Order: sequence, then C-alpha cells, then structure tokens
Amino acid sequence: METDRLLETQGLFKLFGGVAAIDGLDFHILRGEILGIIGPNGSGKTTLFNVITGFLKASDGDVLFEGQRITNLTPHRIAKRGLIRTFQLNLLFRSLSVLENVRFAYHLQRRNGVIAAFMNTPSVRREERAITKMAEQVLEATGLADRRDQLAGQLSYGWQKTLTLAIGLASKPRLLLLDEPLTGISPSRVEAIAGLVNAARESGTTICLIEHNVGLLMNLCDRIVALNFGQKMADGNPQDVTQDKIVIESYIGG
Amino acid sequence: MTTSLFLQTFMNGLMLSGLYVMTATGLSLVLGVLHIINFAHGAFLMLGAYLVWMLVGKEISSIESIPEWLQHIEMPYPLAFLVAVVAIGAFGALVNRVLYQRFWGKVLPCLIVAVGLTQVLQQGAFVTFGIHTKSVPSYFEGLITVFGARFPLERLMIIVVAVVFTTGLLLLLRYTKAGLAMRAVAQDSDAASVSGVSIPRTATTAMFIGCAMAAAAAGIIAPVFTVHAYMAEGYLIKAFMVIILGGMGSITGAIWAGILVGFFDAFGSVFFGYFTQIFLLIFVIVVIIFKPTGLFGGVVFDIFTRDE
Amino acid sequence: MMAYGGQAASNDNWKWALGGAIFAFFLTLPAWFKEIYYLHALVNIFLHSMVALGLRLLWRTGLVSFGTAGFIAIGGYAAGLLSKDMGVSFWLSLPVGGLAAAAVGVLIGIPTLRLKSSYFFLISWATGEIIRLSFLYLFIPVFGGWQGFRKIPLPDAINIPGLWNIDFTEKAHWYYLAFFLLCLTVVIMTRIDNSRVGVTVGALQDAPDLCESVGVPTMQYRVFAFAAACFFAGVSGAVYGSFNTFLHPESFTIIQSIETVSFVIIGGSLAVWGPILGVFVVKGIAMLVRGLGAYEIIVAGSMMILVMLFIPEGLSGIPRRIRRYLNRRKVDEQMEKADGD
Repeated sequence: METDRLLETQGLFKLFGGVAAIDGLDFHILRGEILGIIGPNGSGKTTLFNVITGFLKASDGDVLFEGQRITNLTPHRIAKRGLIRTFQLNLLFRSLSVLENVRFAYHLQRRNGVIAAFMNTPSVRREERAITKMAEQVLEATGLADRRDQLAGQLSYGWQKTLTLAIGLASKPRLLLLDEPLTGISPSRVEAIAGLVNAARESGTTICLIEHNVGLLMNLCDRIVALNFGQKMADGNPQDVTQDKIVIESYIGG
Repeated sequence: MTTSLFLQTFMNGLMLSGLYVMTATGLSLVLGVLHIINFAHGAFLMLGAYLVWMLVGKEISSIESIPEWLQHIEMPYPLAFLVAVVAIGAFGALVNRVLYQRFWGKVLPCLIVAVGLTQVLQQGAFVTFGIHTKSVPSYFEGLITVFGARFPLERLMIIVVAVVFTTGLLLLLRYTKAGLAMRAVAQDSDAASVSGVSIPRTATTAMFIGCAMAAAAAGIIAPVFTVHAYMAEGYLIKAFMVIILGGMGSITGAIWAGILVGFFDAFGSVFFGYFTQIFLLIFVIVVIIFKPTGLFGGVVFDIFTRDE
Repeated sequence: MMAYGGQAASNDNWKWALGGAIFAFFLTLPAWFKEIYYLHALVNIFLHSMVALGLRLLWRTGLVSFGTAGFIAIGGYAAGLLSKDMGVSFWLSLPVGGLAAAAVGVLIGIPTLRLKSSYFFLISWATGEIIRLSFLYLFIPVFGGWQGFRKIPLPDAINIPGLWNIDFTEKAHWYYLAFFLLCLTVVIMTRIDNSRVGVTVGALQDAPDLCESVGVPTMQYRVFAFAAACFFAGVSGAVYGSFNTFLHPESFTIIQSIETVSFVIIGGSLAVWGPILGVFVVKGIAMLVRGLGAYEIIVAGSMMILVMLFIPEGLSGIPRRIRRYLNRRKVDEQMEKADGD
C-alpha cells in the first residue's frame, strides 16, 4: 500500500516571517495518477512545489519520494531521483535555441564527464548526436519541430509553455510537477498540452499539476487536492471536490 | 583597565556607534526600498565632508579646480552642515533618477553602475582636491568631563547628531505618509504600486534621506577627523558590515549592529590594535555563512537568501 | 553556433583571418617595436587579460567577485616565497602560486557559494581585504609588511644553445612569457566555450533554477568556476611578482579588484576576446589621458557607467548590434518591396 504513494508530505510547514504559507500539510501523490492541485492565489501551491523540490527549505515536516526522505535536499539531487518540475513563469534558457533547451534536459543522462566534455572526445560527440535525435523526437511530439532553431526568448507565450513542458518530459521523470501548464493559452493549445500530459502518463510518468482554471482539470485529472491557507481543504475526485462548498467559498473569499 | 581609560573607550564607543548607525541606517534604507546596494554611499559621505569644508571655507588655499565664487563662500559651520545635508541628499536623489531607477529590480547592473560612480567620484575628488587631507576648524571647542573622564565636546556632538537624525528617521518612517510608502515598497513593491504608491518617487525620497544621513555623518566627522578623497572606503566597509550583521534592509537591525560594531571597534583597538579589523571581517563572514539574515532578526525584507 | 564537430560556417573565415592577423601582429611585435615603455605596458595588459578571462568564466556562472586582487596577491607572494626563500624554480612556483590561490578560493567558495549571488560579492570583497591585510600585518618577517616583499628572483633562464637565451633581463622576454600564458588561457577558455561545459556555464547565467531542476549541480559548477578564476589570478600574480621583483599589499586593494571586474563589464562577457578588449580600452584610454595612475580608475569607472547604460552587453557586443541593425534594414527593404507588389 505504502509504495503506491510516489510522493508524500508529512506535517509539512513553511513559514515566512510569522506567516505559514504551508500549514501542516499532509498529502500524497499515487503512482501513475494525474493529480491536480487547486486553490486561490496565495494558498501555497507554488510554495509547496518549491519546498518539495528543494528550492525552499521546509520549516518543519517531511517530504518523502518513493518512501525516502528528500526533505531539504538540494534541487539537483532531487532531480537525480526522478522528480522534475516546471516553473510558473516560463523559465527557459532564453539565449539558447528551442532544440538546445530540450537537449539540456538530458543532462542527467549524459555519461561523459566534464573532462571528456572539455576535450570533445569522440564518445562525447556520439552521445551528443544521440541526444539530438532524442530531443528532436520530443520536439516532434510536442509540435515544436518547426521552431527548433528559434531562440527560446523569441517564442510566443503559448509555445514557451509548451517548451517548458517539453524540457520536463525530456528529462524522463518518474514524477513530473507542472506549475500552471495550462494558464494563459488558447483552447487548442490546452488540448494539445493535455494530450501530452496523458501520453506521458501512458508511458509511465506520474504527473501532478497546479492549475488555476479548475474547469480544465475536470477531464484531465484522476484526483484533485484543494488548498487554502497552506492547508488541505478537500481531496477526492474532480466532481466532488469542485462542488465542495468550502472549496467554492475559498475562491470567492480569496 | 583603569576607570578613566574605560570611560574614554566607552565614550569613543558611543561616538563610533553614532557614526556607524548614521551611515548604516541610510544605506539600509536605500537597500530596503530600492532593493539595491548603493556602493556609492561612502562616496556621498566623502562629498558631504568636502562640501562642508568648502562652505566653511576658512582654510582653502587657492585650488584651481574649484570655481572662484565657491572659494569665497564662508558660512558658519552649522549652516554649512545643513546645506551639505540637503545638497548631498538632493544629489543622491538625482543619481537615483538618472542612474539607478532604470535598473529597478536588477541588483547587478545597479551595483556595477554604483561601483563605477564611486570610482569616478572618489578619484575625481582626489584629482580635484589633491592629496593633502583637509580639515574643518572645530566648532565645538573644549572638553567635557563625564564621570571623571575628559572628552572633546565635538565628539560628543557626534553622538548627539547621531541620536537626533536616527530618531528623526524612525519617526519619519513610523508616522509620515512618505515613511509608510517607503515601508510598503520595501516589503512588497508590487503590492505597493498597485495600491497607488509611486515607486520612482518613493525610491527617490529614500535615496534623498539615505544620502542626507550619510552627509550628516560626514558633516559631523569633518571637524573631528580629516577629510580626504579615500575616507569613504573605511566608512563604507563598516556600513556594510553593520547592515550584514543587523540584517539587510532592517533599520532597527542596523541600529543595534551599529552600536555593537562601534563598541567592538573602540574596545578592540585598545586590546587588539589593528587586528580588530581582521577579527571583525572574519566575524562578518561567519555570520553571513551561518546566519545570512543577520543577528538581530527583525528583517524587513530579504533579497539575499534563497527564501523569499 | 554550437560547434561540437567544429565546422565553422563559411562566412566565419574572415573571423579566422582577422584573429590570425592580430595574433601575428602581437607575436612579432617585439621584433619591430622596441619602445620599452609600451612593451612593459603590454606585459601588464596581457597579465590583466588573463585575470579578466578568469573572471569572465565566473561571470558566466552568474557570479561577480570583488576580491580578485587578493588572489593575485596570493599567487605573487606564494610563488615569490617559493622562489626566493626556498630556491624553487620559477617554472614550478608559477603553477603552485596559481594552485595556492585556487585552493583558498575553494576554501572560501564552498561555504559561501550556497548563498545567493548578491551576498557573494560582499564576501569576495571581504575576502580580498582580509587577504591583503594578512599580507600587510601578519608574518612580517616573511612577507615584509609595510616594507613589501622584495628581491623576488627572475625566472630560470631558458637556454637553447645557439638559438635563444631567454634570461628575462629584457622586456621582450617578459612580453613573450605573458603573451604565451595569455594565449594558453584563451585556448582553454575557447575550448570550454565550445564544449558542453560552456553551454552549461552559459545556461547557469541565464536561468540557474532551471539548470538545478534538470539535475545540474550549480553549486559545484560555481565553485569550480571560482577556483579557476582564482587560479588564473594566482598565476598572473606569480608572473607579476617576478616581473617587478617586488610586491606590496597596497597594490592589491579593492580598487584593483574593481578594475578587473570593469574589464569584463566594459569589454563584454559574451566572447572570449571581450575582456581582452576591455583591458586594452581601459588601459589604452588611461594612457592617452595624462598617463596612468588616478585617471585610470576614473576612466574605468565612467566607462562602466556608460557601458551599463547604453551597451549592457559590453563593447564586444557592438559588432552584433551593427549586424542586427543591418539585418533589420534588409528585412525592412524586402518588406517594402513585397508591399510594392
């Protein structure tokens, strides 16, 4: 039973000054599911992601990934274990091309060390060619193939969001945390991204996403957790949660 | 340690504390509101000192680089002091408008520009005023006896001026609209601007006050210590150490830390001589490593740790 | 632009030609240009360029160090100590000086690079000061304190019988040493830039959090970059010490540290030749404006301000700007023509 929980938080707290952004939160993500996290502004959603992935230090409590404590590890170590996240503000390598952005995601899969890279050995060159092929496949799948040589900074907002997702997918995560992947983009793009999320789940990635627009999650998620004031307000299937009075109130009040 | 030596050192500690608090709170205010490190803070202080010297004008020998009309000004010291405070404050406000404001939110470009400005001002002063130190004739003459120890009155005035200005700053922050605006911008500039606070104006005000504080410190130092182009460096380093120890952006922290460093310097120099400085530097580094938010908590905001 | 296999586009050939010409120019200079004053200045320029290139690497990981002068001092004093008091050959004490500086850099870097980059500038400044004060006040019998560290020996002669006797009594010998070291540094830096390491480094400057989230150990890269910057500073310090046979803590203040940063800012950090350009521009202008000394840093300071205001990517970014401007003109013309149809 326990190993079904890919990720789990136990009594997690995060305090800024005297304010608790995360207030004794217990929640979990099951292996193979698509979990949605909703809540009004300031409810602690992104802070939660930041604490889970090590970008912020937890004030108290624990985060477990595959049963092991990852609380307060540095982000890159957490990434090494297969926990990858995207950022709310379309964080990309603006001065690199779309292709280079995706190729970067294969960092953990590169076997050659720094010295070899410095000397540009044949092994390195082979590896880079292989990575380019894999990256191109990801670009195909996400529809970015036409834009492969464009600088990431020049993409439109919607394509930038797609690119951040592509980077996340390319790193072959076990658990992928997406921060507002569907916000601010056209309905057709939403469909496309939702399709990618589903496809990722099919190939074995567990996904958890924060979304503002609750309606978009109805068909996408198996389960939804609602947060407010850093605490869990509701937890269940999309139908039940979105009709929960407390949840609705939190959105109006906030 | 004899009682009289102790008292002397204690009074020195008070004096240094006063100086450090004045410079550090000014720097802290700018840091808090503009979210930048005004590396040129020390240079403003130096300019203030030179300005007081020029306005008092009693000991200027002909220096070509200073215009004729300036050379003939001879103000009484208190007036020169006030003029310098306002003038340097205004200059600081100008610098903000012209140089810093366009880099709002970006620490590194501001820092580079500030560093460049410092060099220009400092070396410019060196080239203009020459290598010889200047002195401003003492206005407050005489000694005052405190519990049996003799202490120059003008050094006591440093303490008085420091207390007056710092209290003034605290009152201003607490009770005026401008103060409220500055506190708001320091805490959350987006929220503040949405509530109708004009960020450029608030930032300029903060720069004005911060630089004015530096000039006030300079003005009261000028008669006591020497004035020269590189005087700024020492005070700038101290100011940085104080705000690091006090917590970056925290005014009250700067006050406590300023007092701490002032007394440490005073007593340290009696016991350790020039090693005091090395100890202090190392202590500051240790604090940065282990308690980056400073020793005195109460941080208004903190752009310098990973946690926001 | 990524060249893993290394095929330059055909229109880059003129870049190779230009680079080759410049290289040949400086390589042959002492043969036809004998002004001692300028040769001396060029030695200093080359040494400064080495340091600036090290700082550039650090800058590309997103950090600024204001303590560089301290690390130059470490290299100088360490190498000088080995050569003078322990009879070690200069050619050995040179790299050891660099390593000593790098070691101190690692020592300082590991606990402090965890913090955000804004704090690091303060710590690097404090470190530089501590180092300088240490050479001024500590171990005075060894380092000389206020008197300075004197009588640093010349490097051991390189004697190829019949061809050269490079005994470092002539400026030209020093010129070639500094030039050789600079070229080596340039080659290393270019290699880094063109390799996977360079991409990662550039990405660190661009979006460190994103790097971290895909598994890049940003901390380790930063420590490495800082150690490298310290190494190059140390090596240049070792040469500087032997070149002047004399070291004094006053030469290693925050002003010198700031100046080295200004080279990177003014010249630009995108290209390897950017900081070198920065050194030439700052030192060159200072030489024109009433000689060196106080004016040099005024020039550096005002240029820093102007560059930040108007050309933030540095002077080496000007060609790119021109190209982009010309391209835009071309596109506009094409669009006008298209409209005409």
